[in-house]
Amino acid sequence: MQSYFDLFDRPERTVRARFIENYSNMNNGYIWAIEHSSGHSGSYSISDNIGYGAVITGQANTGAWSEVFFASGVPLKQFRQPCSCFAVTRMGCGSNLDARIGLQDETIDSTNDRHWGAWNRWNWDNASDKVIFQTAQNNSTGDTATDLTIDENTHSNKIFIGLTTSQSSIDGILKATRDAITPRTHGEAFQPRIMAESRANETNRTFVINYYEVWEN
Amino acid sequence: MAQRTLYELLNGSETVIARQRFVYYFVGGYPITPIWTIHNIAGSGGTQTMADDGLKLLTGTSSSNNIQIDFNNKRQYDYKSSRVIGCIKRVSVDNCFIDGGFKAGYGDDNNNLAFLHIEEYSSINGIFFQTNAAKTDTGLSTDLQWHNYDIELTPASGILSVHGSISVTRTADLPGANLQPAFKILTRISAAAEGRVKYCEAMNT
Repeated sequence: MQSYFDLFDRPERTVRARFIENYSNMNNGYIWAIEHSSGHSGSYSISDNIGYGAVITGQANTGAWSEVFFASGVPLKQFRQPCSCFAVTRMGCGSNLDARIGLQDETIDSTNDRHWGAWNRWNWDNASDKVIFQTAQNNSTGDTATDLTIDENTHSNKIFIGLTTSQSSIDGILKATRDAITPRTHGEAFQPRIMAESRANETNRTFVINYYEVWEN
Repeated sequence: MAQRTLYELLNGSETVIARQRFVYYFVGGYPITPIWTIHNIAGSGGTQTMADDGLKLLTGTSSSNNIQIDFNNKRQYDYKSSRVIGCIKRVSVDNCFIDGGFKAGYGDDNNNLAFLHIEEYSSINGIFFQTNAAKTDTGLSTDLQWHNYDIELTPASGILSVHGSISVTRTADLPGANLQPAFKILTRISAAAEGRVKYCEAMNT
């Protein structure tokens, strides 16, 4: 029998932290802390639909967002760079949704996307409607647009935060590399992050996640 | 069928009837208590909480206070044919030890166990392979770094590998009862001892 450890790690080095979630049971809300934009509410729950996994929704109010991660208040940052995440997601509606999937050190606050991190931004409020790879370094953010037009299909997102660059691959193809305004100058640690922001006063601006894996490289 | 199963990856084939296996990464902010039980074996006030670098184990503040996390004595691993892998470290600089491996029960004793034992106390400084009450020094220096261990139990021996190298084989004082994964930390003085746990895998072989 091969050990799981043999499959994912190397015995001569320290075990790298790894998180795997399949969203395939009745409840995984206990895994996540959830926050909402000020004055708003939202929801995060396991779906009752085939192939949906979990769904996250901001309140039906333009600019209202909900976000889940490992811990708010005192953040729980267990994945030190270089680290990666792999997530299978899809837009659960055809418009007015701004969703993000990736790694960030702390929850966002009234100023969105501060701190340190890297994520894919599936923003149907964007004029180009392209997936954007965003990175954050010490409260500044930078964008690189990919060539992928947003749709309602299921896609895989692989985010890598290296020591000098950050990269985004979608559906197994490298889409963006950023070496500016990335966490490259900071020995930072991160937690997984899923966010959905309503871009109109409409219900069911949902973002769907089927699989989430995070690991230290 | 395009997708392979994790079962195939780990066991080689769907025709293999795999034996029991447990895998746990100490990540995330959610409680471990549905799976792990914490026992304040001696003293009180010992705690387990999740930290940035894994599970934080903290003893009470009196000398010899010790805690253990385990499966509350659900002992599903064969003392003659099993394997346990883990990653632990001390955080307290001295006067404490941390153990990771297998143990039957959670008493304040050295009965039926196979541990990687990392200790700094008086003249006891080192990383040991402990089976029951007997210890063999690995020759590795005790420090505050992470240490991977892999303990394999057979009918006639216990073999400890640290960081992928076989360092100690013990053939005496081996456990004689079925086992559960366990982590233990003890303070030798009147101050809390602190350690970390990052990973645990156990399997019958």
